[in-house]
Amino acid sequence: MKTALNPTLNQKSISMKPISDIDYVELYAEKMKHDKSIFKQQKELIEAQLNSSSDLSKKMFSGNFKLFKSKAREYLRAVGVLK
Amino acid sequence: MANKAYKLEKDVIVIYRDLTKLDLFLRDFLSILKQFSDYLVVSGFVSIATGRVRGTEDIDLLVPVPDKNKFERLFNELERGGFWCYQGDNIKEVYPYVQNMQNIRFARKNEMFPNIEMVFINEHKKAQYFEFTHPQKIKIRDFEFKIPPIEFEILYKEIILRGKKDIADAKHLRIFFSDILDEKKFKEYKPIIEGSK
Repeated sequence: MKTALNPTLNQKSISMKPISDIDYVELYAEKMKHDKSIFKQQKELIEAQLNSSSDLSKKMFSGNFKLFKSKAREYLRAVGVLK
Repeated sequence: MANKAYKLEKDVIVIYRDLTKLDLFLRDFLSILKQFSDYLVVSGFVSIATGRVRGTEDIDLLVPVPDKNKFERLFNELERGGFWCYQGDNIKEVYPYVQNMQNIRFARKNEMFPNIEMVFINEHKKAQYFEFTHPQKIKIRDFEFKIPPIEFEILYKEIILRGKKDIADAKHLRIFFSDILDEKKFKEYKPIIEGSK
């Protein structure tokens, strides 16, 4: 069923009250499918997370590149990414 | 509809969005990898590239196992291109991982995230080999790359991976691409994926 507010959302999406993560995934995908402007929010969120990770690793493993790699590998071994 | 987020254009899925830093990272890596090898982008990045809102620090690529000579040329070119390998700084350290089909990761110099995780495959890995040989092209602005058929990616996440994140990714893909998903493909792919369990 279409509504005047958003003619593209179906009845299930309109009537559904998000209560879990998966509900939000469903609602977001349905809205995004019909409204590419939502990609802008997604880009901001993805890049904010990337910037945080990048800043954190630079702080944790500062130094020249050789030292950076040595500290990074030590950490990766400690967390089980490297055997 | 003018505001639609994607369309299927001559078998290429065209997504109407701007490139993110994550896309640019992948594009830079693929521009080097493609000189030496074929590839398939799989897993979380497929969902994120098509709108799923979640963080990720790695992008998974399926890559056929290269011989030592080809890998050495690729490795050296990646280093020249500004990437470093988690597993080691030279072929002697890294190629044993490749030979044993253990995943290896690359990031930009002086960065740990994001990273590319190279997953080596051969024809014995039935499901992965199937998706690798049946790629779907996807395009965002001027960046075109290869992913599995969407139906395959959904089933792989639902049947094999099955983590909370994977189920949410599959749900996103089912809804976002509901206009173009093909029930016949789901039926074709399901036994291939179940056979690889």
